[in-house]
Amino acid sequence: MTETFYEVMRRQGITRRSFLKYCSLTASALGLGPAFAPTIAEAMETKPRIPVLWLHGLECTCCSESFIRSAHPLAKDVVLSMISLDYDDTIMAAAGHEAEAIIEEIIEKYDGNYILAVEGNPPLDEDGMYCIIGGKPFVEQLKKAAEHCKAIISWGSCASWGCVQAARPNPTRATPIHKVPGLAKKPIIKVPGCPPIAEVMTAVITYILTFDRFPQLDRQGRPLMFYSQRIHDKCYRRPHFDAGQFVEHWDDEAARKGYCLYKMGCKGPTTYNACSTVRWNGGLSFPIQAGHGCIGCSEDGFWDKGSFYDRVTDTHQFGIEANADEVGLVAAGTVGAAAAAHLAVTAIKQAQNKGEQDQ
Amino acid sequence: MSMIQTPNGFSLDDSGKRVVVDPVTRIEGHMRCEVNVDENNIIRNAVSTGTMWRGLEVILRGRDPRDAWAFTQRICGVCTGTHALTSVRAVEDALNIQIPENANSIRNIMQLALQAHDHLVHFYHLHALD
Repeated sequence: MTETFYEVMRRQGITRRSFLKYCSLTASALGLGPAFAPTIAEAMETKPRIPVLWLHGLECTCCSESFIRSAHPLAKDVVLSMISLDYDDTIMAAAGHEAEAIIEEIIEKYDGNYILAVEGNPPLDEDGMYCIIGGKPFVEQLKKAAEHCKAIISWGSCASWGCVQAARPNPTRATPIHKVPGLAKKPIIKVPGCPPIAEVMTAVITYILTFDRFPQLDRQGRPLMFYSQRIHDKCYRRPHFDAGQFVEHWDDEAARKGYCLYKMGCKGPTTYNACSTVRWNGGLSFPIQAGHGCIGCSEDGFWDKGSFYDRVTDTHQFGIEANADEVGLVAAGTVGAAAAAHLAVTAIKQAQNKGEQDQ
Repeated sequence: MSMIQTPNGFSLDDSGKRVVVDPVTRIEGHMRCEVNVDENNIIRNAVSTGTMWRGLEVILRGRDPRDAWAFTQRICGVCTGTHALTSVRAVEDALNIQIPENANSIRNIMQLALQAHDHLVHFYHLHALD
């Protein structure tokens, strides 16, 4: 029997007090509130660690790089304690046939019980020859591992949408995991982003361990707790957008004052991600805070939506609390809703015009 | 000694014991290494192969040059900034753009920060296991 999270932590000399503190920190990181800390503690005390196979296809390893920077919880706690990361060719000690033997062993030992985490995606052209691991196409390894897994985590935009290698003209026919033909039908959770935020990655794993199921997903398969709002909705520069104060050139006075980057091509208004709330590097900053617009890296096909410096033309305003599903409902919705949306847009346009006149 | 010719015109010593390491782990991307070792345990021949291809050069063709850095950056998630900076320099060189001294200083700071940070990651997460 694999050790539980709690046993491993105690073995590492961590006190019960620190363990409980860790549980409440994790509960708040997951947005669950203090009431869920005991649930997390119980899961960690009683459940064996989840075996995880972490496979790499066509990718740049940025998801792994992001993952190892998680601060809450620390990546080391996740890797050493919460999951049993049995195969990840970026950080595992074994190499060559020893590494490949581990995959076989996991599939046999934990048949139907391990999580398959996929970073990158398989190229389908030329029978998958554009990505070879251990002398065989990656797509074969992926299909085999998927057949025996419990569920699949699609890390990053590669696995979720296709990302850069699938950008026009997609020379290798790189295909996101959920679209791979012949792949076993398993539940898939998408954690898009190029890379995804470290804390989002570890939080998803913590949630799965604690509750033995995926967190609530949106229609595209992303966890709602992190992908239900646009960068724009919680952006600290949002007041400047509402006031019509925009950066027009990279070196103008507005740029120095930290005004809204919308006119410089910021994709915040059309990008669903948690960058403006969770932020990066332990909550230190995120691209907009550093003075560059969002490039929309967690959205499907963001490489082919025009230049990163072209202003987005399909911004819709439905109020700051709208999420992807609500936006979709309104778009498909009633005359009343459409009229309300129209009013909202008009109001904001007026506000913008006013702002521009003031300048 | 048995010499063989590879399809791309190299001659290789195929004698002795052949050792293949595939995949090479704790690196970015996918790699295969093959060596031939003689009876004194000396490597006589070594071949390394990158076993993935994404075609970023093909994808970059016809794009807005201002965006090139982001595509190029995705070559590697471990040394992202270096690829981005190199791409930006290539574009500036092609368009004959001179950058101010302060911009150059900021770039140097970013590059050095990346280097310091990358050394830590490389040592503690990747290399230390060897």
